[in-house]
Amino acid sequence: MDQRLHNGRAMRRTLWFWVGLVGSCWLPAFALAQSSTETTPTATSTSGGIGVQLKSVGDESYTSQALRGTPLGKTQCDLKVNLVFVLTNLAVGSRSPKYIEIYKGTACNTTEGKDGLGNDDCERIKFINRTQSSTYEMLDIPIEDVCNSEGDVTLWFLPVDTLGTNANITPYGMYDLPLDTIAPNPPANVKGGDGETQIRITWERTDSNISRNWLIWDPKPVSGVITTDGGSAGSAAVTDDDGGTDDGIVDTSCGSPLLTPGEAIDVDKLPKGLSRKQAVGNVESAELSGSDINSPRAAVAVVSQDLAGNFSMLSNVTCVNVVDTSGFWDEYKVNGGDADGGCACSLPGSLTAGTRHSAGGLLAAFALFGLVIVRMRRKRLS
Amino acid sequence: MTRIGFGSLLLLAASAAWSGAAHAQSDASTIPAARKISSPERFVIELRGGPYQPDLGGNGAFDRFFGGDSGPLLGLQISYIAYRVPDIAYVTFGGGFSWVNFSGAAVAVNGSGDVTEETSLVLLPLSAVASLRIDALPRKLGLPFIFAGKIGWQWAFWDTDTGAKNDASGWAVGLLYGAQLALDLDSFDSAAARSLDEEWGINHSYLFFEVYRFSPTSASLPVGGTGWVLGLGFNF
Repeated sequence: MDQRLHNGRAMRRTLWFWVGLVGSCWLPAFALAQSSTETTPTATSTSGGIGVQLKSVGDESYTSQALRGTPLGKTQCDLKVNLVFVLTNLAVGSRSPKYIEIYKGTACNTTEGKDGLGNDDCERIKFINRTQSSTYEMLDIPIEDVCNSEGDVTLWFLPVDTLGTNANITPYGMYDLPLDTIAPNPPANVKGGDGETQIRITWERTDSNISRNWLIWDPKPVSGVITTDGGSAGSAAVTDDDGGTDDGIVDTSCGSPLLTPGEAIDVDKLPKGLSRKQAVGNVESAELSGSDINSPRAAVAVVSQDLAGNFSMLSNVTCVNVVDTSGFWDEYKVNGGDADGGCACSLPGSLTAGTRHSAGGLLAAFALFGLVIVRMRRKRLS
Repeated sequence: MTRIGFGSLLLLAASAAWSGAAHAQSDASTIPAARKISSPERFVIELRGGPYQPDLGGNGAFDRFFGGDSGPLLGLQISYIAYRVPDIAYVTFGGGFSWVNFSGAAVAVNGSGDVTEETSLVLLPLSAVASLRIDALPRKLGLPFIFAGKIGWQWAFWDTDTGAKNDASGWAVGLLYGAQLALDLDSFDSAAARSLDEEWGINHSYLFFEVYRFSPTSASLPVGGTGWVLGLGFNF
């Protein structure tokens, strides 16, 4: 064999090896990228000289990527879990600080930050007596102490001799707690479709951190109920011509007294008469079937749930209609089409004997001809 | 490393110490004349795509629901070069598969018109094809045109749904034949073609336009018709 040709093949093998290797490396990288799309601070912070580690959230270890992959939020706040922290690098000895104060806010390790004067937002949420002989301290903070805040919270761990002093604290510990208790915006422009087995509901997403959407429907819609009022939190259904702050669409033909646009609804404890179905992901459409709805008509609204588990207010209400449908196959039959499902090559009587023979004969000839050619080629090469 | 290669290196090193004239004379007398090298040529692969609409034998159902839908049909065909007349023509046997999906709005039975629910028809044709390819023009005359004729048998799986309901599915079988005009890319950059062969084992590459016809038997759902595809082919 020619040397250059041999080298070319070796090069190709090497190339394919590297292509495969690089390709396989992309898979875990891709998976990591998928799981890291949200704010995911590390479990440990060493700013200020004192190490702070969030050890666990309730019964779950915070070192697991599954938990750190999403901000803490409604799910944990509702469960009233404890946040367990571990502090390290603390000073030891009889002259070391006797207490550790825990503040939340901005720059709470400075006099100006924690004095409660001016525009500072620092608030002491807890203090503990520490063991002066240990560089290590474990403490827990009830999550409801920080759940009232909006967005991420920075916690400050300040070793002090005297509680409430205003001196600058060095060293200190700091931890940015990813917290999301803000309800996402409700989906906009929800529209219902019609059909028999696949009734599509579409909407426009209004937030990027949505994990799922809940379709909520009332199979006994009524007329005379406004179905759009703009979706602003806390507002009641309006009855003026254009709904005041709504999108200008007023539909009184199909609504539900149980579904009020812009109002909160407990998705886990729906009022009697309502049903729900989830659409996973930050999608903009979902489908219901006639059997889901079990009624000729239903009023439908959508609630979004974000990655932290917070629910949006109810979207506008729309209607879906369950109607018998026909499609291509029905039309084909109506127009006289006589083909049936299954394989036309094996149905009894579906092919004439001559046609079947010609098909089989063609295939046999095809195979035979190929065999002859291959044999001829092998003979020539040998 | 072979002895020839090692010897060439020694000669090259020795000649570097000589004067220019002596150097040139030495090279001319010791380096063997270049000869054409190409990797074995065994297969042809074609990536193909184009619009397609089955004629449905005059039945108006397709036009009613999918009238403006032409696919596209996307496919891949791979063939074995069974016989080769060097630089003239070759015969291949192979198979391929393709895919095309048509969808449109279903209608309400009560006569109220179209609904948002969709009806669809999916075709997944599998084929066994023999072809004769004539590439004498680019190989002998440097004209970049290759002609090919194809004939074979096709089994087209079809499946039609309305909403989440599967209405019917089956196989339409019949004759498949076509003609292809290809533009030989080697003719435009022979150095690149040679490099492609040496590094990847791709002997030839071409762009093609193909017209084909699928004629299912009378018992099949008449999803046959005439179509065309554009594509890219490689011999390797």
